[in-house]
Amino acid sequence: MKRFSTFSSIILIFLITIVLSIFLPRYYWISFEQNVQIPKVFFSPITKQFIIHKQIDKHVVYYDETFKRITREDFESNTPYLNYRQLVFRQEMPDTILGKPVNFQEIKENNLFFSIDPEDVYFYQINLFPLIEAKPNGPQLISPQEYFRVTDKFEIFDAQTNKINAKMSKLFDEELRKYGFNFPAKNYFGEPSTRKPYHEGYFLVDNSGDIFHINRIENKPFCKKIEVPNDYKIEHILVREFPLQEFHGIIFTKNHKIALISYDNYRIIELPIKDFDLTESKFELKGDIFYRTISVFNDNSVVSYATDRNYKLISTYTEKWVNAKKSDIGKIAEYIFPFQLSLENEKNLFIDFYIEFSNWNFIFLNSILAIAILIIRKSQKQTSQKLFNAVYVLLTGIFGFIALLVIKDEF
Amino acid sequence: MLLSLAYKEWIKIRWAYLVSLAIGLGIILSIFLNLRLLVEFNSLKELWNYIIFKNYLFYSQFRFIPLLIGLILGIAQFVPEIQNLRLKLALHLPIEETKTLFFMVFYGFALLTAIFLFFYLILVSISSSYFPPDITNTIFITLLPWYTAGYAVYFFASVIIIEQIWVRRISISLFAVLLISQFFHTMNHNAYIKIIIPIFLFVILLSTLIITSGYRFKRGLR
Amino acid sequence: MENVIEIKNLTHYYGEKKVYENLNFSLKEGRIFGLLGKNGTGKTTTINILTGFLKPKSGSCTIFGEESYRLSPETKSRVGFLIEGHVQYSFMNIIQIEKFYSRFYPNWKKDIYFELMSKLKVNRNQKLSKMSCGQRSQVALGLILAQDPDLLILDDYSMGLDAGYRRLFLDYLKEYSKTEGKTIFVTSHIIQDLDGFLDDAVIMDYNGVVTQVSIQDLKQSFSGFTFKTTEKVQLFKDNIIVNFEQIRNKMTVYSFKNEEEVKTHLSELKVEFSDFAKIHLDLEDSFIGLTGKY
Repeated sequence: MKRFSTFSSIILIFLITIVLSIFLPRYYWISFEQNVQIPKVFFSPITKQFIIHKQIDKHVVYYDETFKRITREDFESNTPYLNYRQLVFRQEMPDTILGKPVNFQEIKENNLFFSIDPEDVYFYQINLFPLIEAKPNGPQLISPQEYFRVTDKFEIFDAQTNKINAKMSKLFDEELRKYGFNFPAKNYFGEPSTRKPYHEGYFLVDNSGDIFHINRIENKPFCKKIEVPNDYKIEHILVREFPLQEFHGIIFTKNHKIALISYDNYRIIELPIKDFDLTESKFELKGDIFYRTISVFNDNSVVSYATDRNYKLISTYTEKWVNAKKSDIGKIAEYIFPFQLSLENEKNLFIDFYIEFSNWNFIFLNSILAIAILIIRKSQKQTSQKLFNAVYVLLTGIFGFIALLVIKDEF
Repeated sequence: MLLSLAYKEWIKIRWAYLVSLAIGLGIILSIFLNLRLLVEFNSLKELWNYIIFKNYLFYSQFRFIPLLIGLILGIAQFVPEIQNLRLKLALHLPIEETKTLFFMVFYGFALLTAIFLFFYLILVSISSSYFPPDITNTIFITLLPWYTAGYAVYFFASVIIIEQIWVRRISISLFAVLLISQFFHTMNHNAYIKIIIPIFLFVILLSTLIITSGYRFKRGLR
Repeated sequence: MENVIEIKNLTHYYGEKKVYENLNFSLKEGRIFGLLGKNGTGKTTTINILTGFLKPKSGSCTIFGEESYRLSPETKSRVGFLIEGHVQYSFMNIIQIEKFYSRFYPNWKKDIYFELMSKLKVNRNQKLSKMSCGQRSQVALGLILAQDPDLLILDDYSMGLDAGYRRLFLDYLKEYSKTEGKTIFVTSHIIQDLDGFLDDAVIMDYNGVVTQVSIQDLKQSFSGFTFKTTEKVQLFKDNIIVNFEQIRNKMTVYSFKNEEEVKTHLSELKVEFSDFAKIHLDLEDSFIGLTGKY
């Protein structure tokens, strides 16, 4: 019984250590963490410079790329496409911008905004997608009762009967095979909503990693294989339908490239952005009649790229900040906690063991606590127990120390 | 002899078990009626869409039921054992004490597994009459954290109830609550898919914790 | 005859508080022992150690040669244990509880149990928890007797029982003890009942002072004497005067020595005495004589 009891005491100690390594850091951060404001970066078609705004001490401040403060009014005047409503209200909207007459409908159509966060991509997706009719009998897209999946064949479920629509499945299956689709599909990308101006269908990555564009047009399958450069392994495709119809979607590759699939016969336009890791960083693309601004948000910096409408790089802007981990609070945490465990992570929706090891700074506290536990538990005579206590606290620091204080079992 | 032990455990917990069964079935019935109503008043395709893209869990009402059942069973099984220190009787039986204690938790574990499996199968059969397999297949991993919480609370109940020192009871309870809270982070489909199997196995290891409490009971830490 | 229970240099503390140090006694096979002691002398501690639910700080307590808190299943089946208050599985009924226990013991004597049960006026489906204390004690006794153990440990069998049930309980035990080689270890707070039942007594006093005597010896050699004396006389316990009691000029003295020796001793102590008389002591009187009223 003693042997088993020792075993279960150790499990109990281990369990308490784990729980503490989740909750102590969590409460530490809740108590001390300070908000870090992230700048919003724009490219002014007027000054041909980046202008930025961010919150400092609860106030919004505006500045240009030389960090010179500007007023809100200046900011708005320098981003007339973005703030045309405001300028109209102030009766300051010019008639022409860069020689181009102002047309509000055109401004609206050309104002683009796409953004994608790791959280938007990394979660468990049930791979069943509504097979939306791209040319409905009416002005609006209709939510369909057909849902498809691409396993070893193309299968369409009827959501009214919960049965497979064999006839339609066969039609799509044959079409995909005709284009050399290698079943099953590894990934599905698309916008399964009907609240959008039109429906582009889905981009599927087949088992060999090739991209296929599929759609349902007048109840018939549409399929097209898309040629991409050889080194493109698809991480993600952001598909968005927008009135400008400039590109079908944005490809993020596993080797950290970003490219657009243009409406010009699926021509691939690679963006002038180096090393973008979707698992870590946030991507943002803004556009107006003349320019595109692409921003990459990392944990402690933003890099913005201004391009023309052909995605030729004009200018870049980088701003760094001290993130929570690197702040004084984060540095102190490294002295206290040998590691910090969390089951949640802001960069995806999967529950996992997200463990962050500290740089060796914790070793001071761990050593002190290891000695402390030997002193506190000096009544425990067994050398094996002393050794266990000391080594355990040395490794797990404050977590193991508290666990051993709670569970005083001798073994 | 073990059969006889099982007989005793059954007499002790049969009512609690039936109550657990009734609670579970009641909730599942309510889930089913709710679902029927949703399909009746909306369309099934909207429901599919809601489930697939909005993470709607039609059985979310069931979330804390395994936890409740684990707790009920743990209390029903172990509280009578420590009333009047009755555990002395079991530990005086001519069986290895560790065997007796392990058997008790194993028995509870088996009953929990049976009831959990039963509820799972009902949910699966409800689901598969409305939803395609891709949706139904996510039920298992989505339920598993809740079930794991049920097992964990049961194992903790055995340890905490048999433990006789209040300070230790309270501190273990505190850590038990903190640990169990980790099983209810999100309600996304299969959110725990990456770690639930190792976590489940670790929780199974918690079945051994009863031995520490039993050992302390034997040593007279009261 | 071998020792069934052997307690050697047993020492126990609760934290800093000493219960006793170096307790020694042993019980021989086939006899009925009573552990007698006032509250707070460590009776419960001894029972807990004996039944394996307390690990002593030092020393040893063995039953059939095994350390009591690490008994093998075989030895456990030779020991019947009645928990204080006749605690049993009260969620079972008479039939269920018999069915439960019968599978554990190879020599299970079903008849003894049901004979005892037939005398109880209870429904067979009645749960133990719905029975009276006396009825429960009979169930607990029936189960222990059916187990047919070689050693019976009965922790305060008399708790909550009225005279009838106490008598019934002892009658059955007596009957049982006649079987070859059965040893009984009993504690009770009603010592009167045990008169004529016990063979030996282990009497515990505060600070772990223990006297182990056979009842026969106790009755033969332990006596009380009363005499009149002066109020201001001062007596002390010594190797002749085990205990004494003084109410004004009336003195009672307890001793293992005979009348003559006590008288001689008193004279040596220069204690005046008159109306010297020997008093009859029953078991309870002897117990009080040995341990005092306080």
